[in-house]
Amino acid sequence: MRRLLVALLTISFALVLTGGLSWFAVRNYRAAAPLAEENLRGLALTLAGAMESLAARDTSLTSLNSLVSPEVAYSALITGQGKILFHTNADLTGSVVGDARHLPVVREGTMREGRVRLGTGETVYEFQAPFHFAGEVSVLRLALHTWRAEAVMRRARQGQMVIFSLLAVGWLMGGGIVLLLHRQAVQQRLADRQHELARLGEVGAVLAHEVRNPLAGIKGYGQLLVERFPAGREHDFAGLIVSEAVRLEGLVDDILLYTRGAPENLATVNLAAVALPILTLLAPQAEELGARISCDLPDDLAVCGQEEGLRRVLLNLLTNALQASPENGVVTLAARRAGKWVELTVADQGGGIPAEMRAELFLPFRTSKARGSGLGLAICKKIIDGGGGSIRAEAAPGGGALLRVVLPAA
Amino acid sequence: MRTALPTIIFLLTLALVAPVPAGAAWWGGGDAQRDLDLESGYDANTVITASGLVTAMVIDEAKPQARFEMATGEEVWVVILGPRKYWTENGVALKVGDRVTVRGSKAQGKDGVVYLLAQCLTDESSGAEVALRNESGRPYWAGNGAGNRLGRNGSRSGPLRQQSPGRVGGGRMGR
Repeated sequence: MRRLLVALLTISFALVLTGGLSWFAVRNYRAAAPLAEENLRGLALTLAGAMESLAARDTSLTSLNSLVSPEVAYSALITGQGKILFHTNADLTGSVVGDARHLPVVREGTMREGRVRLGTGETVYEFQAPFHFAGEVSVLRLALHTWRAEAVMRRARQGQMVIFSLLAVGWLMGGGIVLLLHRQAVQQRLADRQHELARLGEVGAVLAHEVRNPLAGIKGYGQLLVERFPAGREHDFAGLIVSEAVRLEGLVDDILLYTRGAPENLATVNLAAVALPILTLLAPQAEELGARISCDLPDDLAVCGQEEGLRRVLLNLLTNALQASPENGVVTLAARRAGKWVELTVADQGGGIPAEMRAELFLPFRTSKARGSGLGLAICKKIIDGGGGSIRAEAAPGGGALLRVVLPAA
Repeated sequence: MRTALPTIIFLLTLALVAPVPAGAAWWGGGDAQRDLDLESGYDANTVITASGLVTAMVIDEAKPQARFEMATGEEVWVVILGPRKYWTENGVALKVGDRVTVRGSKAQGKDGVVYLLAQCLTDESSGAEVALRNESGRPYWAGNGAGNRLGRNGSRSGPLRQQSPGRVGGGRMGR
């Protein structure tokens, strides 16, 4: 819960930061365009004022050529009739202007501005304003290069791009770090698991040497007592000693099996050949429990695995299913080929496995049985994982539990 | 965590370095004058005559137009001479240090460089003169029988008139 809260807070912070920086970048860029326009307008107004002053003093207009600015693409003075009185390209002075863009300025007596694309392909800022010359109102047309004035826009755009790039890289990096941390956590869990298994292995070894041998002695003496005592109370007690010793032996065997390394020498194993003896073995138990085992195994279905391990898995799953079955219940064992895999299912008609228990079902020492060791399914999972397969618990379609095992096909 | 450290360092480096090439790409540094029509663009409004010294000749495979850099006082302009092949076959031998006078249409690219789309050029050092466009700015390499206009005396055909916008061909006015 705490981790989820931290994750939510981190994501919220990252989203707010992204939103804030994006807003700042976009706002900064949008503010730059009017600024550039103002720069150009200011320059145009300054030049227009200077030109009007010069024209007032020099009616030949030749002095206008002295107003040189690298920002000016060209300038022209046009009469209301379209005649060019002055042009920075002297060859055009005296000719008639080829467009009518000056007419609205003449009509309305107000300045106009906008962007115009020249024949060179360059887009310039065009400023047109009424120009009082020789007692008449003409139009001064100024075309200005925009590169210098638009430097502020370029900087804003660059800043915007840098912010967006950093945000993108930040998110990518964040995602990468989360992925790495997740992988690290998984690896840590695996390492812990290995460590746990190693410790279990040590415990197993101790059990093998320190418990198994005395246990064999207890069982042997118990069996001797069973034989010596006539039927009666003492005989029954001796029988209990033997049965409990046998159960403890089974537990020790299970622990040793669970702590053993991954199976080697995988071979082709015929599923039906392994399953049929087990079905025969379990038939009396099924009859005793009032249940029945239904088998649907193709004869030629083979998997890649270890025969002894597969036998153990089937025995465990079928025993569990029988124990969970109600009176007259049917346990179904089925298998089918699915591409490169063989899917084996064991379903019962019992009470099923609660969803919250399914995640822990295959962990060692987790059991709902009063006398179970909790190692059966853990051993099954270990054997199946070792063979490159998988096992999971589901709800059977007709109610009850369904254990689905997937193994590599031979 | 030790195994993740190099990856985190790599990502951090990427975060710091990535915006630089991204910025260059955004600005199109490789072709900053792409807004200009250097092949056939021309505008009579911006025609000027300028003199200066040749500071560099650029006739290489990377650029479709022959060009040279001309120092005009404090500024350096790029003079566009036309298609590389046309200039190689019809141009004059310019070299660095030559004083030239160029008449042409001036334009500023998105890279901030001033380009002069040459109409005619005179190499003051050798006296050679070459016309690359007619008076209206139509390039001679565009054909229509204009042919080569090389020679010492480039002809002029009287005062220019402004052309109507959208006219097909060489020189154009603002649109």
